[in-house]
Amino acid sequence: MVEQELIRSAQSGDREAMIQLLREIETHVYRTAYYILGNEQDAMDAAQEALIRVYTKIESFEEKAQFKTWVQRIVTNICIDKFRRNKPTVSIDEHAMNFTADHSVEEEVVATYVSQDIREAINKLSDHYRAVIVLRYLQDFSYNEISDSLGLPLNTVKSYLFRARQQLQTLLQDYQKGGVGG
Amino acid sequence: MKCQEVMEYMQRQLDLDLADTEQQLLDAHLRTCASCRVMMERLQRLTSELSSLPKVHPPVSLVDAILPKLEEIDRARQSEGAIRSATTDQSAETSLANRSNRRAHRLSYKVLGGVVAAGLLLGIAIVNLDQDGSQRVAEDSSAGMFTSSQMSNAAIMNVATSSATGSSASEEAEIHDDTAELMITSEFEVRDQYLSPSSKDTSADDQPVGILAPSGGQKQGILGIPATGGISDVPSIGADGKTVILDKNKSVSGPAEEWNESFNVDLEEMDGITGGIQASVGLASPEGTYSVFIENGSLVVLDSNNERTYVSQSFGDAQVYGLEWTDDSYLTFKVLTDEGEQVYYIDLDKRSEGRM
Repeated sequence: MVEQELIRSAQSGDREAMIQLLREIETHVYRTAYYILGNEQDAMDAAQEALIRVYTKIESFEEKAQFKTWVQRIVTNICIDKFRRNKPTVSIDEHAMNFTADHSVEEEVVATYVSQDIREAINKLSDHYRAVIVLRYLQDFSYNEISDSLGLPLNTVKSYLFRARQQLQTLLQDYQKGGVGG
Repeated sequence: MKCQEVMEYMQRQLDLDLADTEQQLLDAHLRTCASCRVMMERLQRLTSELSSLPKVHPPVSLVDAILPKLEEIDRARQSEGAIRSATTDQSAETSLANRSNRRAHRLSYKVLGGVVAAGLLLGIAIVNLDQDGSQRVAEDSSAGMFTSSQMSNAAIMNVATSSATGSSASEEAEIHDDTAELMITSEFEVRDQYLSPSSKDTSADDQPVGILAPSGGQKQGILGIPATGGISDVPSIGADGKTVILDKNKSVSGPAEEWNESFNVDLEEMDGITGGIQASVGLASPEGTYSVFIENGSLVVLDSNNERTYVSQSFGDAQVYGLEWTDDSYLTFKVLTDEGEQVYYIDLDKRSEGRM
């Protein structure tokens, strides 16, 4: 948690405080960028751009907002902008995501998904679904904090999160069956 | 309890969002439904894996890496401050008319570091549709504030481009070499969901990202259209000056191929130029199964055969905007009433609508 006093000092022009503030948030910023963009180099670029933007915009931060959601808003903005320009999303048939009760228990194979499978699955999500997943699980944000970060209504956040998880579990099932992947 | 309903409970359970009674209902269902039980296990496993994703760290200090840039920014700010004060008189401010009974909305387009890039920016304001038919074009070649306000019966298309070779230190942080932004406004502010895919943003850094469009963006769009206007057309500014073109490929110089995502344009209060809007709109769903437009205060959904498949309740004179396809059969939109902004949805699978 970043101290309010540090933020105020940074806002008042204390450069040392500003630098310290950036150091405290850089890992969080990078982590979001890494999982949204899916690779280290892009994440480095985006995270640096986000930190620079925090530096230049710190005066516009208002204390009524949470600093961490304000920062995440900046980095997700940058990442999604990059993402939209560089990486087409894979369209997933939404109908296939709908839960149906026609799976027999026998079909279920309990297996541990390897981390790589999950990362690949996350990369196949649309940018906004991915952003919601990243904020939920990598930043441990609540529904409300995700809502604040992305500027989305609470119900939309829930809808995106639920659909994203459904898509992920379907993708991971497909990986297990060898249907999707690579 | 139907399995479909249980899915939401399962999802909320993952976030520890269930009340005790809801948890009991879920547990009871899971005891009797093997399929849901399996699904619950899958989702729990997924959540566990997501929570266990490596908490990655940057390989090197990012702050150390950007320190030189921060110093450049500091220097640029100092010089910018000096030059800006000298160029205040030249900052572009276009006042096209004054309609005192209208809200005056203002779009401020600030380009920091643009002192060096001043000659590289081209702001074109194409204006028409004043009742007297006059057309005004404002060209802003300064790098200062570009503000359009108090516009009457007008839409402004402002295309600002900077050179692909722009490389001053001062613009490093604020201007990007491939910037091509399209802004359209008409007595209202461009909303924060406005997105120019190629812009790295000179003004909305701390605004919501506005990721409102679902995946598969080619067919998507976000439109805000007044319910009162009965506008069901694609705005465009044609050669005749009577229309407002939103077709990026035709109207924007720049990386048009990058305009593969929706952009959000608020057309509220464009009733003054209703006569100039032609061509059919329809905000297509991601898969193109449906399209939607506003007619007489209601949202009208067309199917793939252009048959009316759903007509929403009428919102009368309230402003309806922010149309967004969450998926191919689920639409959300906003309605501005006396009580403030409300978010509504239409679920075409369930043939239902309501407030979110």
